[in-house]
Amino acid sequence: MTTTSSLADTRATTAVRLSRGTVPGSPVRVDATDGLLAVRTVSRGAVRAEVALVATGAVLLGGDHVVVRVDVADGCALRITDVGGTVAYDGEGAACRWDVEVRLGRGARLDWAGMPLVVAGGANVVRATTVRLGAGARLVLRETVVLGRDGEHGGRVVVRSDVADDVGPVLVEEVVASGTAPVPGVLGPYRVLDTLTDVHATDELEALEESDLPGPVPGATTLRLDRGGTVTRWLGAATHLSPVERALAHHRPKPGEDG
Amino acid sequence: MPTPPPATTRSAERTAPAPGTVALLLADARLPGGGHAHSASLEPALLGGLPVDDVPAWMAGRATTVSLVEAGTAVVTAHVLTTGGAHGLDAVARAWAARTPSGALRDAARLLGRGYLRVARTLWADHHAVAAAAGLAVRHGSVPRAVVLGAVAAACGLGPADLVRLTVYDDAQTAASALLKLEPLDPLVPARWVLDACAAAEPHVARVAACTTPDDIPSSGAPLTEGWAEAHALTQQRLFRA
Repeated sequence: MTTTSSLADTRATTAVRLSRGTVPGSPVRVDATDGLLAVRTVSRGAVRAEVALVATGAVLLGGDHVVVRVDVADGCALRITDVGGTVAYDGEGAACRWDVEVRLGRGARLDWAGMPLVVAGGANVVRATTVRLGAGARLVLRETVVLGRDGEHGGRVVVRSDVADDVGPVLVEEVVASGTAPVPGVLGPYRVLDTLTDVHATDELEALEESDLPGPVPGATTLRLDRGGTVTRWLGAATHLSPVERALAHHRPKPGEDG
Repeated sequence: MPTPPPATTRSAERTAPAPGTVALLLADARLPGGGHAHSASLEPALLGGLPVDDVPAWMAGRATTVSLVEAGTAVVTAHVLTTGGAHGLDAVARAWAARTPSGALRDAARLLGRGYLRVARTLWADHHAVAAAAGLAVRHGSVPRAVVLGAVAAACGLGPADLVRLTVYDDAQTAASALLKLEPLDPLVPARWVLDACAAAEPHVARVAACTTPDDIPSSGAPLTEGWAEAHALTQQRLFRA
Protein backbone atom coordinates (compact mmCIF):
# COMPACT_ATOMS: atom_id res chain seq x y z
CA MET A 1 0.00 0.00 0.00
CA THR A 2 1.48 3.36 -0.95
CA THR A 3 0.86 6.63 0.79
CA THR A 4 1.20 9.84 -1.15
CA SER A 5 3.61 12.36 0.32
CA SER A 6 0.87 14.96 0.81
CA LEU A 7 -0.92 12.53 3.11
CA ALA A 8 2.24 11.45 4.93
CA ASP A 9 2.87 15.09 5.84
CA THR A 10 -0.35 15.30 7.78
CA ARG A 11 -0.14 11.95 9.56
CA ALA A 12 -1.23 12.24 13.13
CA THR A 13 -1.04 9.12 15.22
CA THR A 14 -3.21 8.40 18.21
CA ALA A 15 -1.97 5.43 20.20
CA VAL A 16 -3.35 3.41 23.09
CA ARG A 17 -1.38 0.69 24.76
CA LEU A 18 -2.84 -1.44 27.49
CA SER A 19 -0.55 -3.58 29.64
CA ARG A 20 -0.50 -5.23 33.05
CA GLY A 21 0.37 -3.08 36.01
CA THR A 22 3.96 -3.45 37.27
CA VAL A 23 2.94 -4.10 40.89
CA PRO A 24 0.83 -7.21 41.55
CA GLY A 25 -2.77 -6.22 42.16
CA SER A 26 -2.40 -2.79 40.61
CA PRO A 27 -4.71 -1.79 37.76
CA VAL A 28 -3.76 -2.10 34.12
CA ARG A 29 -1.54 0.55 32.68
CA VAL A 30 -2.84 2.75 29.85
CA ASP A 31 -0.21 4.52 27.78
CA ALA A 32 -1.70 6.99 25.35
CA THR A 33 -0.51 9.35 22.65
CA ASP A 34 -2.92 11.95 21.33
CA GLY A 35 -3.14 12.78 17.64
CA LEU A 36 -6.14 14.10 15.76
CA LEU A 37 -8.00 12.07 18.36
CA ALA A 38 -7.32 12.29 22.08
CA VAL A 39 -7.48 9.33 24.45
CA ARG A 40 -9.43 9.67 27.71
CA THR A 41 -9.28 6.84 30.24
CA VAL A 42 -12.78 6.07 31.49
CA SER A 43 -12.06 3.17 33.81
CA ARG A 44 -9.33 0.73 34.76
CA GLY A 45 -9.46 -2.67 36.44
CA ALA A 46 -7.01 -5.51 37.08
CA VAL A 47 -6.98 -6.63 33.44
CA ARG A 48 -9.55 -4.37 31.78
CA ALA A 49 -9.76 -0.76 30.81
CA GLU A 50 -12.12 1.47 28.92
CA VAL A 51 -10.99 4.49 26.99
CA ALA A 52 -12.86 7.10 24.98
CA LEU A 53 -11.60 8.65 21.77
CA VAL A 54 -12.38 12.34 21.41
CA ALA A 55 -11.71 14.42 18.31
CA THR A 56 -9.35 17.29 19.09
CA GLY A 57 -10.51 19.40 16.17
CA ALA A 58 -12.39 19.16 12.92
CA VAL A 59 -11.72 15.77 11.31
CA LEU A 60 -11.73 14.53 8.61
CA LEU A 61 -10.68 17.23 6.23
CA GLY A 62 -9.12 16.70 2.83
CA GLY A 63 -5.49 15.66 3.31
CA ASP A 64 -6.00 14.41 6.88
CA HIS A 65 -4.40 11.12 7.76
CA VAL A 66 -5.67 9.77 11.04
CA VAL A 67 -3.81 6.80 12.46
CA VAL A 68 -5.15 5.01 15.50
CA ARG A 69 -2.83 2.38 16.92
CA VAL A 70 -4.18 0.02 19.56
CA ASP A 71 -2.05 -2.49 21.40
CA VAL A 72 -3.48 -4.78 24.03
CA ALA A 73 -1.04 -6.95 25.98
CA ASP A 74 -1.49 -10.66 26.69
CA GLY A 75 -4.57 -11.41 28.76
CA CYS A 76 -5.83 -7.82 28.87
CA ALA A 77 -9.16 -6.47 27.62
CA LEU A 78 -9.80 -3.01 26.25
CA ARG A 79 -13.06 -1.32 25.40
CA ILE A 80 -12.99 1.74 23.20
CA THR A 81 -15.90 4.13 22.89
CA ASP A 82 -16.11 6.91 20.35
CA VAL A 83 -17.41 10.12 21.81
CA GLY A 84 -18.90 11.19 18.50
CA GLY A 85 -19.24 10.09 14.93
CA THR A 86 -16.90 11.39 12.28
CA VAL A 87 -17.74 13.34 9.17
CA ALA A 88 -15.36 13.21 6.23
CA TYR A 89 -15.89 16.61 4.63
CA ASP A 90 -15.64 17.63 1.00
CA GLY A 91 -11.89 17.69 0.43
CA GLU A 92 -12.21 19.46 -2.92
CA GLY A 93 -10.23 16.70 -4.53
CA ALA A 94 -7.88 15.95 -1.62
CA ALA A 95 -8.16 12.42 -0.27
CA CYS A 96 -8.07 11.54 3.42
CA ARG A 97 -7.20 8.38 5.30
CA TRP A 98 -8.32 6.75 8.50
CA ASP A 99 -6.02 3.89 9.47
CA VAL A 100 -6.64 1.67 12.45
CA GLU A 101 -3.85 -0.71 13.44
CA VAL A 102 -4.69 -3.21 16.15
CA ARG A 103 -2.37 -5.69 17.79
CA LEU A 104 -3.85 -8.08 20.34
CA GLY A 105 -1.64 -10.27 22.52
CA ARG A 106 -2.36 -13.84 23.55
CA GLY A 107 -5.85 -14.10 24.98
CA ALA A 108 -6.35 -10.33 24.68
CA ARG A 109 -9.62 -8.74 23.74
CA LEU A 110 -10.79 -5.54 22.12
CA ASP A 111 -14.38 -4.32 21.99
CA TRP A 112 -14.90 -1.26 19.85
CA ALA A 113 -18.39 -0.23 18.87
CA GLY A 114 -17.40 2.65 16.65
CA MET A 115 -19.68 5.54 15.84
CA PRO A 116 -20.58 6.14 12.19
CA LEU A 117 -18.20 7.58 9.63
CA VAL A 118 -20.27 9.86 7.43
CA VAL A 119 -18.78 10.42 4.00
CA ALA A 120 -20.01 13.80 2.83
CA GLY A 121 -20.45 14.68 -0.82
CA GLY A 122 -17.05 15.40 -2.38
CA ALA A 123 -15.12 13.47 0.27
CA ASN A 124 -12.68 10.77 -0.77
CA VAL A 125 -11.79 8.48 2.14
CA VAL A 126 -9.75 5.35 2.62
CA ARG A 127 -10.55 3.63 5.89
CA ALA A 128 -8.22 0.71 6.56
CA THR A 129 -8.34 -1.56 9.57
CA THR A 130 -5.44 -3.93 10.13
CA VAL A 131 -5.66 -6.42 12.98
CA ARG A 132 -3.15 -8.96 14.19
CA LEU A 133 -4.54 -11.44 16.67
CA GLY A 134 -2.42 -13.33 19.15
CA ALA A 135 -3.42 -16.90 19.98
CA GLY A 136 -6.86 -16.95 21.58
CA ALA A 137 -7.39 -13.20 21.12
CA ARG A 138 -10.80 -11.83 20.26
CA LEU A 139 -11.96 -8.73 18.44
CA VAL A 140 -15.49 -7.36 18.40
CA LEU A 141 -15.58 -4.35 16.11
CA ARG A 142 -18.47 -2.36 14.77
CA GLU A 143 -17.88 -0.17 11.78
CA THR A 144 -20.62 1.93 10.28
CA VAL A 145 -20.10 3.87 7.10
CA VAL A 146 -22.77 6.27 5.83
CA LEU A 147 -22.68 7.73 2.34
CA GLY A 148 -23.75 11.35 2.66
CA ARG A 149 -25.41 13.49 5.28
CA ASP A 150 -29.19 13.81 5.05
CA GLY A 151 -30.34 14.60 1.55
CA GLU A 152 -26.84 14.22 0.13
CA HIS A 153 -25.43 11.54 -2.22
CA GLY A 154 -22.15 11.22 -0.39
CA GLY A 155 -18.59 10.88 -1.61
CA ARG A 156 -16.28 7.97 -2.24
CA VAL A 157 -15.03 5.54 0.37
CA VAL A 158 -12.79 2.49 0.38
CA VAL A 159 -13.30 0.29 3.45
CA ARG A 160 -10.48 -2.20 3.94
CA SER A 161 -10.21 -4.91 6.55
CA ASP A 162 -7.23 -7.14 7.04
CA VAL A 163 -7.45 -9.51 9.99
CA ALA A 164 -4.85 -12.23 10.50
CA ASP A 165 -3.49 -14.44 13.22
CA ASP A 166 -0.37 -16.57 13.48
CA VAL A 167 -1.88 -19.17 11.16
CA GLY A 168 -2.72 -16.75 8.35
CA PRO A 169 -5.45 -14.45 7.07
CA VAL A 170 -8.88 -14.57 8.74
CA LEU A 171 -10.68 -11.82 6.85
CA VAL A 172 -9.42 -9.70 3.97
CA GLU A 173 -11.93 -7.41 2.35
CA GLU A 174 -12.14 -4.18 0.42
CA VAL A 175 -15.46 -2.51 -0.23
CA VAL A 176 -15.44 0.45 -2.61
CA ALA A 177 -18.52 2.64 -2.66
CA SER A 178 -19.45 5.97 -4.11
CA GLY A 179 -22.58 7.97 -3.38
CA THR A 180 -22.66 9.35 -6.90
CA ALA A 181 -21.97 6.05 -8.69
CA PRO A 182 -23.78 3.27 -6.79
CA VAL A 183 -23.01 -0.26 -8.00
CA PRO A 184 -25.75 -2.91 -7.86
CA GLY A 185 -24.56 -5.84 -5.74
CA VAL A 186 -22.01 -3.78 -3.81
CA LEU A 187 -24.15 -1.32 -1.81
CA GLY A 188 -26.82 -0.90 -4.49
CA PRO A 189 -29.32 1.78 -3.47
CA TYR A 190 -28.30 1.77 0.19
CA ARG A 191 -26.28 4.44 1.94
CA VAL A 192 -25.46 2.68 5.22
CA LEU A 193 -22.98 -0.19 5.51
CA ASP A 194 -23.12 -1.45 9.08
CA THR A 195 -20.70 -4.23 9.98
CA LEU A 196 -20.09 -6.08 13.22
CA THR A 197 -16.98 -8.23 13.02
CA ASP A 198 -16.45 -10.85 15.71
CA VAL A 199 -13.26 -12.81 15.18
CA HIS A 200 -11.27 -15.06 17.38
CA ALA A 201 -7.76 -16.29 16.75
CA THR A 202 -7.27 -20.01 17.03
CA ASP A 203 -4.09 -21.94 17.57
CA GLU A 204 -5.27 -24.54 15.15
CA LEU A 205 -7.64 -24.53 12.22
CA GLU A 206 -10.59 -25.42 14.34
CA ALA A 207 -13.87 -23.60 14.00
CA LEU A 208 -15.31 -21.90 17.04
CA GLU A 209 -17.89 -23.65 19.14
CA GLU A 210 -21.29 -22.69 17.78
CA SER A 211 -22.38 -21.50 21.22
CA ASP A 212 -19.63 -18.92 21.24
CA LEU A 213 -20.96 -17.16 18.15
CA PRO A 214 -23.61 -14.50 18.38
CA GLY A 215 -27.00 -15.68 17.19
CA PRO A 216 -28.22 -14.52 13.80
CA VAL A 217 -29.59 -11.00 13.79
CA PRO A 218 -33.00 -10.80 12.11
CA GLY A 219 -32.79 -8.45 9.18
CA ALA A 220 -29.00 -8.62 8.97
CA THR A 221 -26.76 -11.09 7.14
CA THR A 222 -24.45 -13.27 9.19
CA LEU A 223 -21.39 -14.37 7.29
CA ARG A 224 -19.56 -17.25 8.92
CA LEU A 225 -15.90 -16.98 8.10
CA ASP A 226 -13.92 -20.00 6.97
CA ARG A 227 -11.53 -19.73 9.90
CA GLY A 228 -14.31 -19.20 12.44
CA GLY A 229 -15.87 -15.96 13.60
CA THR A 230 -18.62 -13.93 12.00
CA VAL A 231 -19.29 -10.77 10.09
CA THR A 232 -22.80 -9.49 10.73
CA ARG A 233 -23.84 -6.97 8.16
CA TRP A 234 -26.73 -4.72 7.39
CA LEU A 235 -27.27 -2.44 4.44
CA GLY A 236 -29.98 0.15 4.69
CA ALA A 237 -31.25 3.67 4.45
CA ALA A 238 -30.48 5.10 7.89
CA THR A 239 -28.32 4.08 10.85
CA HIS A 240 -31.16 4.21 13.39
CA LEU A 241 -32.91 1.41 11.47
CA SER A 242 -29.98 -0.98 11.80
CA PRO A 243 -30.55 -4.26 13.67
CA VAL A 244 -26.79 -4.55 14.29
CA GLU A 245 -27.28 -2.47 17.43
CA ARG A 246 -29.16 -5.43 18.94
CA ALA A 247 -26.34 -7.84 18.09
CA LEU A 248 -23.99 -5.50 19.85
CA ALA A 249 -26.02 -5.54 23.07
CA HIS A 250 -25.19 -9.26 23.18
CA HIS A 251 -21.51 -8.40 23.63
CA ARG A 252 -21.81 -5.67 26.26
CA PRO A 253 -20.47 -6.78 29.62
CA LYS A 254 -23.01 -7.43 32.32
CA PRO A 255 -22.76 -5.31 35.46
CA GLY A 256 -20.04 -6.60 37.75
CA GLU A 257 -18.24 -8.42 34.95
CA ASP A 258 -15.58 -5.75 34.59
CA GLY A 259 -12.52 -6.51 36.62
CA MET B 1 2.01 -16.74 -25.07
CA PRO B 2 4.73 -18.95 -23.54
CA THR B 3 5.12 -22.52 -24.67
CA PRO B 4 3.96 -24.90 -21.99
CA PRO B 5 6.65 -26.99 -20.36
CA PRO B 6 6.19 -30.68 -21.19
CA ALA B 7 4.66 -32.54 -18.29
CA THR B 8 6.08 -35.90 -19.19
CA THR B 9 8.06 -37.33 -22.07
CA ARG B 10 4.95 -39.04 -23.32
CA SER B 11 2.83 -35.89 -23.50
CA ALA B 12 5.77 -33.96 -24.98
CA GLU B 13 5.74 -36.37 -27.86
CA ARG B 14 2.14 -35.46 -28.56
CA THR B 15 1.29 -32.15 -30.14
CA ALA B 16 -0.10 -29.97 -27.37
CA PRO B 17 -3.11 -27.76 -28.06
CA ALA B 18 -2.47 -24.03 -27.97
CA PRO B 19 -3.25 -22.53 -24.54
CA GLY B 20 -5.86 -20.32 -26.19
CA THR B 21 -7.67 -23.43 -27.39
CA VAL B 22 -7.76 -24.77 -23.84
CA ALA B 23 -9.24 -21.44 -22.71
CA LEU B 24 -11.99 -21.87 -25.32
CA LEU B 25 -12.70 -25.36 -24.03
CA LEU B 26 -12.90 -24.18 -20.41
CA ALA B 27 -15.21 -21.29 -21.30
CA ASP B 28 -17.51 -23.51 -23.36
CA ALA B 29 -20.78 -24.28 -21.58
CA ARG B 30 -20.86 -27.63 -23.42
CA LEU B 31 -17.90 -28.85 -21.34
CA PRO B 32 -19.40 -31.02 -18.61
CA GLY B 33 -17.78 -29.24 -15.66
CA GLY B 34 -20.92 -28.69 -13.62
CA GLY B 35 -21.24 -24.97 -14.34
CA HIS B 36 -24.76 -25.37 -15.74
CA ALA B 37 -26.14 -25.74 -12.20
CA HIS B 38 -24.85 -22.30 -11.24
CA SER B 39 -26.01 -18.78 -12.00
CA ALA B 40 -22.92 -16.86 -10.78
CA SER B 41 -25.08 -15.28 -8.04
CA LEU B 42 -27.68 -14.01 -10.52
CA GLU B 43 -30.64 -16.04 -9.24
CA PRO B 44 -29.91 -15.01 -5.63
CA ALA B 45 -29.72 -11.39 -6.82
CA LEU B 46 -33.06 -11.49 -8.63
CA LEU B 47 -34.73 -13.25 -5.68
CA GLY B 48 -33.17 -10.64 -3.41
CA GLY B 49 -34.80 -7.83 -5.36
CA LEU B 50 -32.28 -6.79 -8.02
CA PRO B 51 -34.35 -5.27 -10.86
CA VAL B 52 -33.69 -6.94 -14.24
CA ASP B 53 -32.84 -3.50 -15.63
CA ASP B 54 -29.91 -3.36 -13.20
CA VAL B 55 -28.45 -6.72 -14.32
CA PRO B 56 -25.94 -5.22 -16.78
CA ALA B 57 -24.60 -2.81 -14.14
CA TRP B 58 -24.57 -5.66 -11.61
CA MET B 59 -22.57 -7.82 -14.06
CA ALA B 60 -20.06 -5.02 -14.60
CA GLY B 61 -19.88 -4.63 -10.81
CA ARG B 62 -19.08 -8.33 -10.40
CA ALA B 63 -16.48 -8.20 -13.13
CA THR B 64 -14.64 -5.51 -11.16
CA THR B 65 -15.10 -6.97 -7.66
CA VAL B 66 -15.71 -10.65 -6.80
CA SER B 67 -14.65 -11.95 -10.23
CA LEU B 68 -11.23 -10.37 -9.66
CA VAL B 69 -10.84 -12.24 -6.37
CA GLU B 70 -11.41 -15.47 -8.31
CA ALA B 71 -9.13 -14.35 -11.13
CA GLY B 72 -6.33 -13.33 -8.76
CA THR B 73 -6.60 -16.66 -6.96
CA ALA B 74 -6.28 -18.51 -10.26
CA VAL B 75 -3.30 -16.36 -11.33
CA VAL B 76 -1.40 -16.87 -8.07
CA THR B 77 -2.16 -20.61 -8.16
CA ALA B 78 -0.70 -20.85 -11.67
CA HIS B 79 2.32 -18.78 -10.62
CA VAL B 80 2.98 -20.91 -7.55
CA LEU B 81 2.65 -24.15 -9.49
CA THR B 82 4.80 -22.91 -12.37
CA THR B 83 7.63 -21.45 -10.31
CA GLY B 84 7.45 -23.74 -7.30
CA GLY B 85 7.63 -20.60 -5.14
CA ALA B 86 7.81 -20.51 -1.37
CA HIS B 87 4.05 -20.13 -0.95
CA GLY B 88 2.30 -23.43 -1.28
CA LEU B 89 -1.20 -23.99 -2.56
CA ASP B 90 -2.54 -24.18 1.01
CA ALA B 91 -1.68 -20.52 1.50
CA VAL B 92 -3.41 -19.62 -1.77
CA ALA B 93 -6.57 -21.47 -0.76
CA ARG B 94 -6.48 -19.79 2.66
CA ALA B 95 -6.09 -16.35 1.08
CA TRP B 96 -9.07 -17.07 -1.16
CA ALA B 97 -11.22 -18.24 1.78
CA ALA B 98 -10.35 -15.12 3.83
CA ARG B 99 -11.47 -13.02 0.83
CA THR B 100 -14.72 -14.94 0.44
CA PRO B 101 -16.59 -14.16 3.67
CA SER B 102 -19.88 -15.73 2.52
CA GLY B 103 -20.09 -19.43 3.39
CA ALA B 104 -22.71 -19.89 0.65
CA LEU B 105 -20.31 -18.54 -1.96
CA ARG B 106 -17.42 -20.63 -0.63
CA ASP B 107 -19.62 -23.75 -0.81
CA ALA B 108 -20.66 -22.94 -4.38
CA ALA B 109 -17.05 -22.34 -5.46
CA ARG B 110 -15.93 -25.61 -3.88
CA LEU B 111 -18.74 -27.52 -5.55
CA LEU B 112 -17.65 -26.06 -8.88
CA GLY B 113 -14.07 -26.91 -7.95
CA ARG B 114 -15.02 -30.57 -7.64
CA GLY B 115 -16.51 -30.60 -11.16
CA TYR B 116 -13.54 -28.73 -12.62
CA LEU B 117 -11.11 -31.05 -10.88
CA ARG B 118 -12.80 -34.03 -12.53
CA VAL B 119 -12.28 -32.36 -15.91
CA ALA B 120 -8.67 -31.46 -15.11
CA ARG B 121 -7.71 -34.89 -13.79
CA THR B 122 -9.17 -36.52 -16.88
CA LEU B 123 -7.58 -34.19 -19.44
CA TRP B 124 -4.22 -33.46 -17.75
CA ALA B 125 -3.86 -36.64 -15.74
CA ASP B 126 -0.08 -36.62 -15.82
CA HIS B 127 0.57 -32.99 -14.99
CA HIS B 128 2.07 -32.12 -11.60
CA ALA B 129 -0.01 -28.90 -11.34
CA VAL B 130 -3.28 -30.82 -11.54
CA ALA B 131 -1.92 -33.40 -9.11
CA ALA B 132 -1.13 -30.54 -6.70
CA ALA B 133 -4.71 -29.24 -6.89
CA ALA B 134 -5.99 -32.77 -6.35
CA GLY B 135 -3.69 -33.08 -3.35
CA LEU B 136 -5.13 -29.89 -1.88
CA ALA B 137 -8.63 -31.31 -2.34
CA VAL B 138 -7.57 -34.39 -0.39
CA ARG B 139 -5.97 -32.37 2.45
CA HIS B 140 -8.79 -29.81 2.80
CA GLY B 141 -11.71 -31.95 1.66
CA SER B 142 -12.35 -29.51 -1.19
CA VAL B 143 -10.68 -27.15 -3.60
CA PRO B 144 -12.16 -23.89 -4.91
CA ARG B 145 -12.82 -23.58 -8.62
CA ALA B 146 -10.29 -20.75 -9.00
CA VAL B 147 -7.45 -22.95 -7.74
CA VAL B 148 -8.35 -25.68 -10.25
CA LEU B 149 -8.50 -23.10 -13.05
CA GLY B 150 -5.04 -21.91 -12.02
CA ALA B 151 -3.74 -25.48 -12.04
CA VAL B 152 -5.11 -26.05 -15.54
CA ALA B 153 -3.51 -22.77 -16.67
CA ALA B 154 -0.18 -24.02 -15.29
CA ALA B 155 -0.68 -27.37 -17.01
CA CYS B 156 -1.42 -25.92 -20.44
CA GLY B 157 0.68 -22.75 -20.33
CA LEU B 158 -2.18 -20.26 -20.36
CA GLY B 159 -0.73 -16.84 -19.50
CA PRO B 160 -1.94 -14.77 -16.52
CA ALA B 161 -3.73 -12.02 -18.47
CA ASP B 162 -5.72 -14.56 -20.46
CA LEU B 163 -6.46 -16.45 -17.25
CA VAL B 164 -7.94 -13.27 -15.74
CA ARG B 165 -10.04 -12.70 -18.86
CA LEU B 166 -11.18 -16.32 -18.89
CA THR B 167 -12.30 -16.13 -15.26
CA VAL B 168 -14.18 -12.86 -15.74
CA TYR B 169 -15.78 -14.04 -18.97
CA ASP B 170 -16.88 -17.37 -17.52
CA ASP B 171 -18.50 -15.64 -14.56
CA ALA B 172 -20.32 -13.11 -16.75
CA GLN B 173 -21.45 -15.72 -19.29
CA THR B 174 -22.70 -17.99 -16.50
CA ALA B 175 -24.89 -15.15 -15.21
CA ALA B 176 -26.06 -14.26 -18.73
CA SER B 177 -27.11 -17.77 -19.65
CA ALA B 178 -28.85 -18.19 -16.28
CA LEU B 179 -30.76 -14.98 -16.91
CA LEU B 180 -32.33 -16.47 -20.04
CA LYS B 181 -33.76 -19.29 -17.93
CA LEU B 182 -35.13 -16.85 -15.37
CA GLU B 183 -36.43 -13.97 -17.48
CA PRO B 184 -37.92 -13.88 -21.00
CA LEU B 185 -35.42 -11.90 -23.04
CA ASP B 186 -33.88 -11.67 -26.50
CA PRO B 187 -30.87 -14.02 -26.06
CA LEU B 188 -28.57 -11.54 -27.78
CA VAL B 189 -29.22 -8.81 -25.23
CA PRO B 190 -27.28 -10.48 -22.37
CA ALA B 191 -24.49 -11.33 -24.85
CA ARG B 192 -23.93 -7.59 -25.16
CA TRP B 193 -23.87 -7.35 -21.35
CA VAL B 194 -21.20 -10.08 -21.17
CA LEU B 195 -18.95 -8.08 -23.47
CA ASP B 196 -19.64 -4.90 -21.50
CA ALA B 197 -18.77 -6.65 -18.21
CA CYS B 198 -15.53 -7.98 -19.69
CA ALA B 199 -14.72 -4.48 -20.97
CA ALA B 200 -15.33 -3.06 -17.47
CA ALA B 201 -12.76 -5.52 -16.08
CA GLU B 202 -10.18 -4.79 -18.77
CA PRO B 203 -8.51 -1.84 -16.92
CA HIS B 204 -7.88 -4.25 -14.01
CA VAL B 205 -6.44 -7.13 -16.06
CA ALA B 206 -2.78 -6.09 -15.93
CA ARG B 207 -2.88 -5.50 -12.16
CA VAL B 208 -4.51 -8.84 -11.40
CA ALA B 209 -2.32 -10.71 -13.88
CA ALA B 210 0.75 -9.36 -12.04
CA CYS B 211 -0.24 -11.03 -8.73
CA THR B 212 2.36 -13.55 -7.57
CA THR B 213 1.76 -14.10 -3.83
CA PRO B 214 -1.39 -14.91 -1.83
CA ASP B 215 -1.27 -11.42 -0.26
CA ASP B 216 -1.48 -9.86 -3.73
CA ILE B 217 -4.88 -11.41 -4.47
CA PRO B 218 -7.57 -8.71 -4.74
CA SER B 219 -10.12 -8.65 -1.92
CA SER B 220 -12.82 -6.55 -3.57
CA GLY B 221 -16.14 -7.52 -2.01
CA ALA B 222 -19.79 -7.07 -2.91
CA PRO B 223 -21.75 -7.00 0.38
CA LEU B 224 -25.21 -6.99 -1.20
CA THR B 225 -24.40 -9.98 -3.42
CA GLU B 226 -23.00 -11.83 -0.39
CA GLY B 227 -26.19 -11.17 1.56
CA TRP B 228 -28.33 -12.42 -1.33
CA ALA B 229 -26.18 -15.56 -1.61
CA GLU B 230 -26.70 -16.40 2.06
CA ALA B 231 -30.48 -15.94 1.78
CA HIS B 232 -30.63 -18.00 -1.44
CA ALA B 233 -28.76 -20.91 0.14
CA LEU B 234 -31.64 -21.27 2.62
CA THR B 235 -34.50 -21.19 0.11
CA GLN B 236 -36.08 -24.21 -1.55
CA GLN B 237 -37.55 -22.16 -4.41
CA ARG B 238 -34.59 -22.07 -6.70
CA LEU B 239 -33.47 -23.28 -10.09
CA PHE B 240 -29.74 -22.92 -9.53
CA ARG B 241 -27.32 -24.09 -6.87
CA ALA B 242 -25.98 -20.55 -6.36
